[in-house]
Amino acid sequence: MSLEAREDIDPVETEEWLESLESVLDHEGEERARHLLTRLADRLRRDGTQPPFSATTPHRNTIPVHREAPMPGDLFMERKIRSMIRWNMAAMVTRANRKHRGIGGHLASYMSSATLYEVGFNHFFRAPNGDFQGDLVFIQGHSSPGIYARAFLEGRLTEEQMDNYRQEVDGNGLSSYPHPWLMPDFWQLPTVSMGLGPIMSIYQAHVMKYLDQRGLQPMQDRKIWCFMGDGECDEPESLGAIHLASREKLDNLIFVINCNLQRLDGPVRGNSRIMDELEGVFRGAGWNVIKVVWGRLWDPLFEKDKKGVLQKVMDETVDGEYQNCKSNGGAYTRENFFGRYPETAEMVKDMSDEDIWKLNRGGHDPFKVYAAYHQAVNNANGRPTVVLAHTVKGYGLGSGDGEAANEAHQVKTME
Amino acid sequence: MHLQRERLGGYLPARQHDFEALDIPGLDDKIFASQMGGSKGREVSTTMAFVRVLNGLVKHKGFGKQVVPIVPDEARTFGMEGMFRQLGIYTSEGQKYEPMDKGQLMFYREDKAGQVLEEGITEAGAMSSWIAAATSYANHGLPLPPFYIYYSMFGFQRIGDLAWAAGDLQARGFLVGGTAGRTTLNGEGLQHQDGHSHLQAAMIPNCRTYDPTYAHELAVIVQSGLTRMFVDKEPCFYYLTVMNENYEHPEMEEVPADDIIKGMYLLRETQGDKARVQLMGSGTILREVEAAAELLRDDWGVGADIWSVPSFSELRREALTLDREAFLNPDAEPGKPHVTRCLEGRQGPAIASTDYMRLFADQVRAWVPTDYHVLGTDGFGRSDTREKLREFFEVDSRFVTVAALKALAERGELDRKVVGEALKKYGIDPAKPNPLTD
Repeated sequence: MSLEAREDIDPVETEEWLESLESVLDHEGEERARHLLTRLADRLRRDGTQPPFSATTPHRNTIPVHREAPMPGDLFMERKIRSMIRWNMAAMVTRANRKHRGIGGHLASYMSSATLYEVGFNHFFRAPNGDFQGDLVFIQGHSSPGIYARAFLEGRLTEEQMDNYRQEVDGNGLSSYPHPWLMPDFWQLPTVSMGLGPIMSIYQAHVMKYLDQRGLQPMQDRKIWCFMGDGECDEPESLGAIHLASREKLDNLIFVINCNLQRLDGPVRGNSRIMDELEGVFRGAGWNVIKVVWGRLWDPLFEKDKKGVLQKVMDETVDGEYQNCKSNGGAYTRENFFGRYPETAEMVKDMSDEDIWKLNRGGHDPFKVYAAYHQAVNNANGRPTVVLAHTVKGYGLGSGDGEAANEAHQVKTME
Repeated sequence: MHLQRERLGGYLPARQHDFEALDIPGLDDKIFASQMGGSKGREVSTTMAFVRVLNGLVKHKGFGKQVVPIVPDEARTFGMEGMFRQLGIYTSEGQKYEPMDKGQLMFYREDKAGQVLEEGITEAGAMSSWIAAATSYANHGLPLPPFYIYYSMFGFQRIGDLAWAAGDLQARGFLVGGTAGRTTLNGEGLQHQDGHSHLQAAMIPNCRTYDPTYAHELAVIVQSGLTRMFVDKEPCFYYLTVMNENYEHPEMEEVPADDIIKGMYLLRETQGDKARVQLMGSGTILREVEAAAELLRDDWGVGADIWSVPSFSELRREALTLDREAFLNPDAEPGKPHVTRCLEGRQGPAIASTDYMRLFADQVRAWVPTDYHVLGTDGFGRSDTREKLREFFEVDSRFVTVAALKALAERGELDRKVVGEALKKYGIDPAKPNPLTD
């Protein structure tokens, strides 16, 4: 909501309206509240007045805490596995570059998306088995090192192969990106160059519906997962066909957009928020949008935010500034983010700078990601679903090694 | 970790690429045989021949249902509107309205079980559908031969990056560039007239490209392509151009299928007592070449061997492979490329003419065992009649004739002054604009 719209000329009247709405919510439930608001909007339109329209929602998680599906499994073990994968990935890329300077490879993309993939691999992505042909997962090309690291831990790739990352000519190597031509038994779907994964995944979902409806092959509830970057969405191919996905009711399609807020050179949208922009575009095109903005460490702060001041700060902060908070640390965030209003400064007064620094983004929180995926796979409401996950580029690389830094994409080695 | 993956059915990513081969019929099956014996006096286009083959394929009792015809729009341009009613256009909605042309024989029928994918004016979308169908053998264990037909100009230059990814994916299927040829599509002008898609297609290592002239060539190429992709399981896909120019298709005593697939075969010979030339050509311009052979014989007493060259690109790839083998095995008897084998022992210089940029036919130069001259359509297209365009781009029968006379004169096999005489006789203005720069 714009600041102007928040100016109130008659707070008493406003309060009466709000109390009425709260009473409906308490006694008759959400559906009834929604109905009344729709009727009010219709009434306005009848005289030619357009009700205030917003394609976007406040900068917070779409799924409220009380509706999150609880995460099963051994969380401690999953965290350990995630760490091992990240370690192996970094070691693979670093070793390859020590051996041959300039061989390249990317650390930062997978670092920012490890949780997004790992929750999928541990709980959601189904492999072909018997009559079930499995889910199709379009893995974002620059994340391939992390996928190799997982396959290595699973015992599907050898140490020799890992040591031959990006060294394919003598055989038994690993390709830079997902290339079925080069690794025909491993990679299923090429996703580089950017934008091709998203458009191919939409039409893959479309052709799967076609095969099912024509009776050529039952598709059961097979899903197509497409992982992509927020910067990648600037390719016309990425968003240029999303309307087909809703028109053709592709509820077998799930996009996961890793919103780490950075392109190769700088911020994706320094002066606004990419998550808002994408939310508006996808909602407008008729998709289910699930934003995973904040991790669970923020939940207690939201509980304290009765007046919505924290939300106001979040809604006023642009991506360039969010990036600063991550690259400059807790003290900076206390002063420049929470310090903007007395109410928010008060909220964190008992937290150390370290605690503030640890306030996590949604895309790094397995609980939040699990809840989002759980809703996405059970969203068979005739619409495709996009999960917008807020992350930090180079997460875990450390502030000296490119975390949230503009040059994060170039990082190939670690001290 | 293993337990979780076990619960989810196994490990990912993993690509499963074996599939049950399709039962592709031979050339004697009526699907192809109907195109093998000439057009019996009727004037038809290669587009019509292609649509007939496609119609036969979708009716095949075994795999017909698995054939996926894809168009962005303009199916009518390609004469495919019959498929609307016969096969239906797929939509998830079915048809909630009565189409305005309901009373007509070939009305616009949308259907939940429609077989045609008509994706609308989005080449990127139609190509992505083609890729999904062309990789179904790996993603669903169900081979689907897709045929995506479109304006050839709006193929590779619009969706080149997706086509490259299709190569990586080992997509199997046919891309069919319709209304092809810079002078053959005549009225549409600069942004429509394609004189380079074959070069773009040939950039993709596993894309085989063909520019057939006659229905029997087209039938052979489609049958061979289906067999290689869906029986022999070669990881490749095909690009064919089809044209909208109508002409009679000859009946051959025996169709040399193997040579057509290799990319070159002897179509016929004419006799002349003064000299002899080797005339090569592809697509509709081969017809100008044939007309030139008659001018050469009737006006100048020059005989010709006429070669149809459905694939300069395949000729080049074979020659490159043999050259490499020879380079690495200096003591072995080197293999001889098909283009060399065809032309060696023949008499006179060779002149190749196509409706594409000169680079297209130039790509076999190294293996032509005689003087080699190339005509082509370099430059921006423009609107006019076919006759005017072929004059403008200097690829009509008169230009082929003069090019042949000049090649003979340069070798001392004909008096030099006939070249000037021929230019005058055919009314070619030496001050005419240069198609490459004008």
